[in-house]
Amino acid sequence: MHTSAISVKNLYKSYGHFEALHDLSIEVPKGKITGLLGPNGAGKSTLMRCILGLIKPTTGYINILNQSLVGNKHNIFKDIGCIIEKPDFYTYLTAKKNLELLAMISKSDQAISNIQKCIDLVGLTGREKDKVKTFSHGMKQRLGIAQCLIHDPEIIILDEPTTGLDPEGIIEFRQLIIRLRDEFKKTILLSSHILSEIEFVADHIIIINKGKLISQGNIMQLLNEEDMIIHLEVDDVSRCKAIIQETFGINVKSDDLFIQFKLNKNNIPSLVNTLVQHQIKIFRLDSKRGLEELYLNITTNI
Amino acid sequence: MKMKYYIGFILLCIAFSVDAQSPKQIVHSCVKKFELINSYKAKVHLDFDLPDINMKSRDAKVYYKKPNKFKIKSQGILFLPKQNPYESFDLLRDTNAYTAVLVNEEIVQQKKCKIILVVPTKQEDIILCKLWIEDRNQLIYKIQLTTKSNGTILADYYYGSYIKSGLPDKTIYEIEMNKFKIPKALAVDLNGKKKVKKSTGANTGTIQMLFTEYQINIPVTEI
Amino acid sequence: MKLITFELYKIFSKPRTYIAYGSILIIIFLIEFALKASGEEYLDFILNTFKDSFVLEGNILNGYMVSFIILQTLIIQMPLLVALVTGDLISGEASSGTIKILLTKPNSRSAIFFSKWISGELYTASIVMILGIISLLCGVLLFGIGDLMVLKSDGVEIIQSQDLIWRFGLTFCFAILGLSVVATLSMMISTYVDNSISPIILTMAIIILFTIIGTMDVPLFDFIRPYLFTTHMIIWKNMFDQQLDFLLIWKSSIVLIIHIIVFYWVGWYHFKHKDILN
Repeated sequence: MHTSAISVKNLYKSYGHFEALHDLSIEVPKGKITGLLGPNGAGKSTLMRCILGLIKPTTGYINILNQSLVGNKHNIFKDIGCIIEKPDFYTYLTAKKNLELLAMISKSDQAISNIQKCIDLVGLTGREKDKVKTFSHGMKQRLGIAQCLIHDPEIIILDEPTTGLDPEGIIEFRQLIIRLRDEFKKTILLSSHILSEIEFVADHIIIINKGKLISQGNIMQLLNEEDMIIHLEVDDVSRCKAIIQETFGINVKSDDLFIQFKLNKNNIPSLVNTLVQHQIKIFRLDSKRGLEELYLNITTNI
Repeated sequence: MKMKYYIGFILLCIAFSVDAQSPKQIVHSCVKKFELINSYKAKVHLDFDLPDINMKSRDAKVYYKKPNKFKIKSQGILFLPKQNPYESFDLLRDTNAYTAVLVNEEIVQQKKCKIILVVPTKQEDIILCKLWIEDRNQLIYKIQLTTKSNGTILADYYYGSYIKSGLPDKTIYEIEMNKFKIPKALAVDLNGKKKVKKSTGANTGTIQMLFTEYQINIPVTEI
Repeated sequence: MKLITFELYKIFSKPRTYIAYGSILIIIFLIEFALKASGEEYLDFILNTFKDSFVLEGNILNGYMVSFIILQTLIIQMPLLVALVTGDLISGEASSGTIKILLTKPNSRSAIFFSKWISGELYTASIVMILGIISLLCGVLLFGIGDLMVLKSDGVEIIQSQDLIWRFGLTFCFAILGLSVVATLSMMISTYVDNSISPIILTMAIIILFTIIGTMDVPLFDFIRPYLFTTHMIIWKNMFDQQLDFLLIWKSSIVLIIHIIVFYWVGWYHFKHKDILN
């Protein structure tokens, strides 16, 4: 059984001499959150737009839900909801009217009846009769998510969805994404510059750079689960740094107050003991998985 | 025998005296005949053959009230001669107002007509009036009217059913026209090649009126 | 059907649509008011040639004549009012970004393009019908009915009143056909640009240029003139000839339909294959 919701094979996109995508092949697993990462100009938006039929690839194949995108768009897109960059609406209409009109053309029988539910889900209850031109950027983002969901799609594609959201909005969005996966079993393809957002929610990541695939796979597989990034706040940075380098033989980054380094999580107790024995006062110790480092390593080495 | 000669001589004198009516008398006899009509209404069918004007024939109603009220009414647009045909009758009613001269005779509509020139004696809008009169029936078959204000108009009268009343079945007016001019900006066919009508080069147009269903000497309130 | 409803709703929710309707109504009322106030002087001026020889009887300044005058004055405005809305159908969505949402719905680009075109055509038909019906209604109410006097450069045509309604009807149908070319042209241009203003300006520039070429009596332009849509758009005036030249009307209709097909096809092809980058 094919477990990919989206399958891209040997995708090329050229604009004259410039190759935006080069022999790109990716898989987006069903029922998971897939993070699409890459620096500016990597081709993330181009890839997203190719999947959504907004850009015609030069060559290559795109399959969505076991159907080729070519010739089956009107079938496939009943099961796709998306936000590409900032969500745009007909600002001279109310939020509800925008959703009603989009529901009308989504070829879904339940779309109209889902409207109020989706408005409530994204936290716009009470604002649905206001014209979109009165909405803040964050409210438009929420409305964008609502329009993604009204026709109950299987796949949700989000390109930079948290741009412009306040911290509270970002947290709410993160919770919503997870809920969509867990409760509603949606497949989500999500691109973002904010690595922490991907790190918190993604099950699967795809990293591209300069139009080429760099790495893709289960996030747990890509990151050695046992390797942690340790972030220390100590009283004597230079001495602490020297102790760690000597004891564990690893590179350590530091500034006046903090030290950062990568360490197998099984060595954390030993680290703490060593520092305490050397009478280093530890004010703070954070540990996290090293997506940022992985990302930087991968993208700068290419 | 002698009586026969006397009667014959008298009849000859009468004949000569009739034949010897003056032009004024001839004109006056026609006017007198027409004076018996106080008013009339009729239906009229108008046909237009005017250079630079393309229009279909029209039905209308005509109204006349003595001495010279004459009106043609229609729902549509009509181009009518500027001269009221009965205006000349105002002049002709007063025998002291004009001089009449018999100039010739001519066969018009197979009738022998006397051509009489009428010249007003006083300063009038009418400069000259030329009448073709069949004196036997006191009928005017043609009028050529020249006025200061409206130029020259020629009217031909054709009689039929109402000949006893002196009312024509058909009248044809021949009118001199100026060349049509209009500011170009108002023309619908700016730079159009198609002509309104085939130009004959003539500057005269004709209006033909066919009269039917005369109602004579009935009250006319429309004018 | 749902796509067409969707597009029509958008057209009739935009303020600019009502600018077009408002402009037409204002122009109609202004002209009718002006003619009511000083129409006799206007008539005296244009009929001066005939007054030497004739008395003109009948209701010359009637509702039909007033409507006819209004139709003349809107030859330039109507294409602008059409392009104002139809030129925005695609480029407006591109500039506002809503094109992305629209194209990621389960509808083919061809269906979307067709529905936009149909909506544009319906809008075009509506402004012609509004112009026609209101100018006729108000004209007849204010000025009554009568024959229509059509002034041409070399003479006058008088069309009888019972012969006019169907001619006006035919004129409006032909005007819709002519303006459909403008609508399709502006929509075609709209697929190439990402802002609302360029299609309007380009469409008007093309119309003005073609009109100039069509009216200049330069032999160089003789061969191209029959192929310009602007040459055929004004054939509606021939509806008020005594003898209708049906062959000419058919020929012009076919030329206009060919223009619509060509502009539609070019616009559709480009829209179908263009990359949406904004």
